[in-house]
Amino acid sequence: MRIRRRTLLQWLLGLPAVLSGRLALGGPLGLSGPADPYAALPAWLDTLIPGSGHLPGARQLDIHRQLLRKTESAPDHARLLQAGCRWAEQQALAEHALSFGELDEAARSVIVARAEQQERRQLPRAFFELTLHDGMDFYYADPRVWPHLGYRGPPQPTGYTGYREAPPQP
Amino acid sequence: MKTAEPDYDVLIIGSGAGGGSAAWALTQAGMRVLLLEAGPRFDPQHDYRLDRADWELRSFPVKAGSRRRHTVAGMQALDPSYAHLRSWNKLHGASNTGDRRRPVGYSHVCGVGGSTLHFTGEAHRLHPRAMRMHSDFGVAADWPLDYAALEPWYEQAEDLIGVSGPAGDRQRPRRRGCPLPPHAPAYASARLIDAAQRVGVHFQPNHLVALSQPYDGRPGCNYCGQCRRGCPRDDKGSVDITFVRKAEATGRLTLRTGCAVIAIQGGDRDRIVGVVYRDAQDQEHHARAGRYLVCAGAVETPRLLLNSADSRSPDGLCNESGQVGRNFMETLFWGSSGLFPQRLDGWRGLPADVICWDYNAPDAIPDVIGGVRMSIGTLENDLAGPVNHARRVAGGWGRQHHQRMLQTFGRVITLNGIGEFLPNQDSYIDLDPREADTLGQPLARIHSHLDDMALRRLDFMAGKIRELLRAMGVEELVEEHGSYDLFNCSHVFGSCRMGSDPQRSVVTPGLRSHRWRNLYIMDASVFPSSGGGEAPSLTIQALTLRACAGIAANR
Repeated sequence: MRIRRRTLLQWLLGLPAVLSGRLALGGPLGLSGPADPYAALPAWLDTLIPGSGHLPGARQLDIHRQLLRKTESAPDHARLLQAGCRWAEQQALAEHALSFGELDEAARSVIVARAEQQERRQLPRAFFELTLHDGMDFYYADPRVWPHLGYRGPPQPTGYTGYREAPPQP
Repeated sequence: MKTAEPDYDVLIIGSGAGGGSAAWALTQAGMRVLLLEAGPRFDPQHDYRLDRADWELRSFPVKAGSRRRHTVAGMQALDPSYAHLRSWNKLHGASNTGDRRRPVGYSHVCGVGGSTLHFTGEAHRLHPRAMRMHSDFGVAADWPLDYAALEPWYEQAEDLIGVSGPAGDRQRPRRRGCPLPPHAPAYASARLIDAAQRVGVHFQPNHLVALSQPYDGRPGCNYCGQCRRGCPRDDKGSVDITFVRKAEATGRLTLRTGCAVIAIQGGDRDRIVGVVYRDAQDQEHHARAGRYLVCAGAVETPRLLLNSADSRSPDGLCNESGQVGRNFMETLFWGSSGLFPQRLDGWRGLPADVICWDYNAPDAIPDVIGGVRMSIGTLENDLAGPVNHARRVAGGWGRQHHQRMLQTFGRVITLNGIGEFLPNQDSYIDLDPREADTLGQPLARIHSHLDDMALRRLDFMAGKIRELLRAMGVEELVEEHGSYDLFNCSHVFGSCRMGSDPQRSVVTPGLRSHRWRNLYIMDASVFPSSGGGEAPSLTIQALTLRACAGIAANR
């Protein structure tokens, strides 16, 4: 589901409290923060959309770059992505003494699942929903994914003149 | 205000199904026509980018001025006895968690070609008995003409557009077949036809404006399925590339875009003396013609008439009967989507390529007045591509998401139903007392109310559609939505009804205002009844061509 603007605004209104450590993020704010505020993003997206069989993963398709490009016209999203990445890094450090990107898929999945289960107004949930929705959009709009689904697109210029034929079954 | 320009024979407001066909008919008759369109022109080759990888992330393009604002009045409380008609998605839950109907919107395009730019392209004739709802069933109002009077004009419109379709259907008599043969059903549609036959329901090829073969210098369709995102090939017969293009070729049409009419001026002896319009640079102009045609649609036409109130017409132009804005009718809609046991790859073909008219007659449904139609709807519901499938069907994340995606992609099938909407006193258009546009003109406010008959019709559609999906072998539904809890319309009608009685209607059978001798209305606002789900554009065009023939004969 697309992240609701109301949810995003509610979270942003609470941002000062988040940054001062007064709002619970599942752990105290203790990090000075990585040099790259989005350092966790590729691995986060790769957890949401991993490579599987022949299907490429989000990192392989540079989905994180597309999300970041989108933030150029959406500064609210940029702040949410930064805060979400910071939260992910905090979780990884607190539980494993590693950065989020250094964790294996199973450990990353635990943290992502924790974000998913938070209340809607909480930062981790807002971060989860934004990255999931936009990540999926960019991923499935990538022609490199389509052959693995048996999808021949885009609709033009060739159309689908074989539209009456039975499709191949998996 | 800029000084008045040379007079025209006819001034047309709006270039959709009515205005575009009027422009053609009247220029063909040798008349000089000024066509004022509030929206922009769309360029099929440049604006409809179905060749892009991110095509699915884009709907029909929005340009400056291509959407008109309106408001929706408070909606009715939901009748709990129909709670099984709530809209939902398997991943996201209820679409409306409240206890009142929720407005989603009025889907339209403001531009040269109007809503035909983004429509599916159905070309339907009205059921003959849907034109006699009052005489036969005591509801709505009768049309002041019958099917036989309209048929020659249906034929003229079909010939100009190049309608593709079967020679007939069980409901609508035809003197002759369509100009082009029907499209062969897509693979998914053929499965539907087979399954429906097993339960005694009959689907047939739909009548469509997409060309089944090259015609009139335009190519045949290549079945990309995305009619609703605009056709870049000119094979979908929207009004801009058919009627308007031919009108422009006569050299007698002056078409101005970005020009919003803000007032129609009545003068002495019940004659309109001009219109005031604002152009894209916000300059005000005055234009005059011998005759004036208002073709802005069932929401914007009453809005313009009501906003044109003055000392001669204190209740709004043409509103001596009090009927301007009243009798508003909308799309009554239901859709169910589920997973077929095997891949169908339903992104291929044409939207709504097959249709069922079995329940379209006004008395076809037991204990219900007003008919319905059903059609395949996977493409119309935008469940054709991988992005929407991931969003609305597969869901989840991680490897489980991938598994679900690989297991289900290509298997979605949607069936849609559209039904009759009877006019009622709580469904109407008026002017919003608080909201105005950038020119200071009050916005149209839509009041929508479903009566009990509409709910029973919805109930029937939902039940029948679910039965058909089961007959196809669909065991898992993934999404349903309908008008019960969501106000989301595209077809709108009735708000300036035609009739013979000036006390009960706004325009005559010839679509002329009962009062104003040189003012006509030519859009779906003149419909006295909506029909049992028929798409209105071909009927709008037939009514318009007929009325314009009358104008040309009396010039």
